[in-house]
Amino acid sequence: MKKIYIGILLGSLGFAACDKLDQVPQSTATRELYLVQRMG
Amino acid sequence: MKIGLKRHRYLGALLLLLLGISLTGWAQTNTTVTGTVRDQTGAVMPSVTVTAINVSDSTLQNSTITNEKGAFTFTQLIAGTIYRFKATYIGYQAPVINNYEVKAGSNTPITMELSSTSNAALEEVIVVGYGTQKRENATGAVDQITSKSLENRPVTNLTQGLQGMLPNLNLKMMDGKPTQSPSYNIRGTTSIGQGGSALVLIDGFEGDPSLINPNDIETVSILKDAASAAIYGARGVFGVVLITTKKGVKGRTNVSYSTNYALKSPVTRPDFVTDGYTWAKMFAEAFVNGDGAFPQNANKTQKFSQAYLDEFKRRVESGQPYNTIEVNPTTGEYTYYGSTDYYAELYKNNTAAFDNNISVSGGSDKATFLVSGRFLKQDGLFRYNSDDYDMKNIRARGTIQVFPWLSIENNTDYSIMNYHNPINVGEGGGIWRNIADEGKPTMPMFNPDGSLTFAAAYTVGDFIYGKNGIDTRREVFRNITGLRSHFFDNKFRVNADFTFRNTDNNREQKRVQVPYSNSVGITSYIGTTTNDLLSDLRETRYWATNIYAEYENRFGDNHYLKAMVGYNYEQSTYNRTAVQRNGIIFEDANDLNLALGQAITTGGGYEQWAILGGFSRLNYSFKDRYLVEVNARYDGSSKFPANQRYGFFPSVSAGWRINKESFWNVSQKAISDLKIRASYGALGNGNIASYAFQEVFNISQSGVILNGTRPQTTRNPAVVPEGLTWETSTTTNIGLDLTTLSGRLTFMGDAYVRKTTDMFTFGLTPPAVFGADVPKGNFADLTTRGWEASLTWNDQFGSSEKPFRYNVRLMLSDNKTKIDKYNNPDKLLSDYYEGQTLGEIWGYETEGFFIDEADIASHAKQNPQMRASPSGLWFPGDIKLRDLNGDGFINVGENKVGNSGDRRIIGNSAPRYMYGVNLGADWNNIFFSVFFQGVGKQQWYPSTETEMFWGQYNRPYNNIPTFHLGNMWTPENTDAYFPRTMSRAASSNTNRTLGVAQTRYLQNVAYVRMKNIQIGYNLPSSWINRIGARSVKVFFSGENLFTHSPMYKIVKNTIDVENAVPSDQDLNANSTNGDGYNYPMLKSFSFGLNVGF
Repeated sequence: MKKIYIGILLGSLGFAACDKLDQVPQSTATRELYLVQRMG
Repeated sequence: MKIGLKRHRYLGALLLLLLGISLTGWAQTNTTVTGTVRDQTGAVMPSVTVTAINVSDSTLQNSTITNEKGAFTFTQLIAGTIYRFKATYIGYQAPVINNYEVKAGSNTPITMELSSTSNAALEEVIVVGYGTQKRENATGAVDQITSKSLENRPVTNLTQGLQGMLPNLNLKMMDGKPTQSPSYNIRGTTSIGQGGSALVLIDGFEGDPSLINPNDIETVSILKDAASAAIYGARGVFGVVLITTKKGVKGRTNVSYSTNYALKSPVTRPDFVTDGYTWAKMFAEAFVNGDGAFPQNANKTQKFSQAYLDEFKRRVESGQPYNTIEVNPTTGEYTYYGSTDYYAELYKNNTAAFDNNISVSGGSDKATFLVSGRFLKQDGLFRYNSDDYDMKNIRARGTIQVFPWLSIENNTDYSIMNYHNPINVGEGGGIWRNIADEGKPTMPMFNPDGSLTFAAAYTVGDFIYGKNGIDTRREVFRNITGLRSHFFDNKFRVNADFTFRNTDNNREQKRVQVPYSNSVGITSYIGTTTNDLLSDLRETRYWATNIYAEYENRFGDNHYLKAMVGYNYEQSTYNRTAVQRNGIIFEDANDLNLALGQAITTGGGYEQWAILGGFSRLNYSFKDRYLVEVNARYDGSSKFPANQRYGFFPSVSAGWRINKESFWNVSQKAISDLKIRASYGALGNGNIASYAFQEVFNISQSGVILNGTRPQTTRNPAVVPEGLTWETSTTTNIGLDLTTLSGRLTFMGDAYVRKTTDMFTFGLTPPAVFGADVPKGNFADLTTRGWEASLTWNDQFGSSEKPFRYNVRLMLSDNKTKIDKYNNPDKLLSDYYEGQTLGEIWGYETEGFFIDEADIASHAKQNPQMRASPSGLWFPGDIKLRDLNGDGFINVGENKVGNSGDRRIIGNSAPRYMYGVNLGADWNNIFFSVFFQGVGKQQWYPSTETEMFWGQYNRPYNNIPTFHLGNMWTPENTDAYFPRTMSRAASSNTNRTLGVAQTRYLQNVAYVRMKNIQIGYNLPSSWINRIGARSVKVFFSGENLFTHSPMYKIVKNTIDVENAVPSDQDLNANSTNGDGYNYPMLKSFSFGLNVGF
C-alpha cells in the first residue's frame, strides 16, 4: 500500500508540474499576435 | 442554477459521509474517567482543555473542556488501556499525568494542577509556512492570535475584526460598508513601482478573508520578515498572513450554537446646517465674495435672487412655518422655502444585524469531523432602497485514519455574499457627493402633488424611487484534500494538499431615469442618458498543489534537526463577460431580454497566471540554546519574461536563548526566557500584473467613420526595455523575546530595515520623436524602517475558589519610508524625489488673517500665486501666509527641494505609532474585555472638495458644517478659525488660498477608538444542566462606541477620523471627489448567546 501511495504522490507531482508558465494575454493582443496574424 | 444544485448535493453527501464515519467509530467498549483542574492556589479552572492520549497509539486522543467548576469527564476511554492526561490553558504550564490505567467500572478521579509560574507563552504553537513551530524555537518575526481574540465580535467579515489585533498588520478601513475588506499590509510601504500587499493564505492556499466565517478561525498568524516568509517565495515578499480554520477533535461530540443581535448606527452623522434661511443667507454671502456676483441659481435648478432671500427672511421673521412651497401663478414654477435635513432622510436611526452560527464537531479514534454554518443578515443603513447585506457560510472538515501511517483529510467550504448598493443616476458618484451638490436645506423632498423635487431626485429621492442599484453576488466554493503520512516512528512525514477554488464575483446594475417636477403638472427626468441594465459576470478558477516531506529527529541530548523539502504549483484563470444594454421597456424589468435599446456594450476579460516553486527549510538547534533556520525557494512565475522567469530566494535566521547558557544564574522566576533573534533575506516581488512585461495592444473601434465603416484602432504599446529584472525586497530583522516575573510578563519586539530595490518606475523622458509613452524600468529604490513590540501581562488575585483573573496586552508599531533613488534629478516636489519621506506634506505657514488695508499693503505680495478674490483685491479677513524666504512674495519658488519658495514640510499623512490595548478579566463566571486601537501621529490636510470640512469655502451650494457657525471671520469676530466667507477658496485650482496646504488647517488625525467592549456571564452548571447544556454564555458586545481625536476639537460631529479618505471606492475608484464622501463607520450594541451541548 505504501508503494501505491508513493506512486500516487509522484504521479500527482508530475501532473502538477506541467509547465503553464508561458502565458499570453487573450483579451488584449500582443505585438506578435496582432502584427503577425492580422498584418500577415 | 444547475451548478448550484450540484454543489449542494456534493456538500450534503460529504456531510453524511463525515457523520457516518464518526458514528461508526463510536461502536466500542468505553468507560468513564472524571477529574478536576485547579491552579497552583487551588482555585478551580474552567475552560481548560484536557486531552487523554492512548499511550499504545498516540494518534488515539480524546479531548474535553472543564466546566465552571473545573471538572471534566471522559466517557469514551477504552478499558484496560494506559493513558496519558494533559491539561492546556493559555498562560499556564501544561501538566501531564502519565501511565494512568483506565479500568472498567469506576476510576479514581484525577486532579491536575496548572501552574502559571511556567513559560506558557513559550509552549504556544505558532503556525508558520507549511508547518507549525513552538514559540520558544521561533527565530523569525512571527506573530499570532487565536480564535479567542475574535470571539463575540459583531463584525461582518474577518478583516474588520483583525484591525489593530497584530502589531504592524496595517488594515486601513476605507469606509464602514459591510463588504469593506482592505488589502493586508505588513510593515508599511512596500513598493512605489509594482506595489504589493501581504499574501493571504487560508489553510495553506490563497483565499478571500472577507468571505470566510470568522467563527471558523482557529489562528491568524503573520510572517513579517523575509526569513519566515521566504518559504512562499516571490508572493511572500511583503509578508504572509496565514489563516487556519478549526478542525474536529477526537472525543465527545460537541454542538455549539451562538447568536447575536446587533443594533448599528453611524459613528458620525454629518452635522450640517439644516435651517433653510441660514443656509440661503450664507450661500449668497459666500457666492458674492467668491464668485463675484449675486447668485441667480442655487446650483442646477433652484432660482435664487435678492427678492427670494428677502421674502425668505420675511417669512422667518414673521414666524411662518418652513417647508412651504409657493407656485408662481404665471409660470407654474415652484418656489421653495424649505428646511430639509438630507442626512436624516438618508440614514435610518438604527439598523439591525442578526448573526447565527452552529457547529458540530467530534470524532473517534479513526475519524474526526467538524461541520459549521453561519447566516448573517444586516439590514441596510439607508432608509430607502436599503443596502441590505447577507452572508452564508458552510464548512465541512473531516479526517479519516485510513492506515496507522496515513490519514486523509477533506476541507470543503462554500460561502455566498449578497449586497445591494443603491446608486444615483444624477451623478455617477456616491450619494454623499450628490447631497453636496444638490442636497440643499431650502428644497424639500416632495412637491405638493407628491412628485419629487429636483434636489430630492438628484439625491435621496432616487433612493425613494427605489429602482437604481448594483446587486453584488460573490460565491466561493473551495475544496482541499490532504494526505498526511508518517514513517519511521513519525520521524519522516510526507504531506500533500490538492485544492480547487471557484470564485464568482457578479454584478447586476440597473439604472432608470428618475422623475421630478419643477413646475405644476410638468414631469422632467434625471438620468435621461441611462435607462439600462448591466450584467457583469466574473469568474476565477484556481487550483493548487502542495507536496512536501519533512524529517525530524533529535540526536543525543544536544542536537535537534528538522529538514523539509517541497513543491508547490498554483494556477489561476479569470474570465469576464459583461453586457450592457439600454432601452428597458418597463422600469421593473430586470432581465436583459427586456432591454431593447440600440446602445449595446459588451466586454470580455481574461487573465491567467501560474507559479511553480521548490522550497526547503532546515532547522537546527544545539542544546536548545543556539537556533538556526535556513529557508530557500526556487520560484518560477508566468508574470515575468522568459529570461527572468525564475528566481532563487534564500534566507537565514538565528536565535540565541541566553537563559539556556551555563553562565546564566538568574532565577527562573525572574527571567525564564530570554532570546535574541536575527534574520536576513531577499525576495523578488511577484505581486505584479500578469502581463506587465508584455507589449500589449489595446484594440478598440474608432468613433470616426472611414469609407463607411468604423475601423479598429490601436496605438503603440508601452515599450518594454531590455534587461528588466525583478523588484527585490531585502529585509534585515532583529528581535528580542523575554518572559519574566514567573511567566506573568512577556515581551516580544522586532526592529527591521526593508529595502525595496529596482522598483519598476518611469525612467528619463525620451526625445519627442520616441513615439511612445515614457518606458518604465528598474529605476527606483526605497527603504522602510520600523519596529513593533507587544507586552503581555497575565495574573490573578483573590480567593482560591473565586480568583480574579486579568490580562493586559499592549501592542505598538511604527514604520517610516524614505526614497533612496528616483529619476527626479531636480528633486521637483511634484514627484517622488531622492531623500523624500513618504507622506510628507509641503505647505505654507499661516500667519493669520489680514487685519486692515495697511496690513495688506505691508505684507509680502500674495499675487499672482494666490487668487485674492474675483476683483483681484485682498480684504481684511483673508488668509495671510508667511514669507518664509523673505523675498517679498508668497510662492512656491521653483517647486523643488532647495527652492520651494515659502513652502516647507508641515506634516506627514502616513500613520505612525499604531497601537492596540487589550484588557481582559474574569471573576466568578463574569467576564469582561475591552480593546482600544489607534494611531499616535498622523496629519491630514482636507482635500479641496471635502464638503464636510470646507463647506461653502469649496462650492457655494455645499452644505455648511455647523462648526463653521460663529467660526468665520467677520470684522466683529477676528479670532475665528476660518477666514471671511468666500466660495471657491478651497478649490482644486492651485492658486486658491485654502486649496494649498498650510499649517492653520492641517488636522491632527491621531486617534484612539474603543473598537470593542464585552461583558458577559457563564451560567452555572446547576442551571444549564436542566436543559442538557454543557455551557451557556450570555454577553453584551459593543463596537466602535468611543473615539477621541485631537481633530474633534475643531471638526465636531461631522467627519469620522477613520473615514476622512477619498470617496466610495466601489463607485469611484481612485476618485479625487473629496474626502469623507463615504459610507459611515458603524457603531453597534449587540447582545449574544452561546450554548454548548
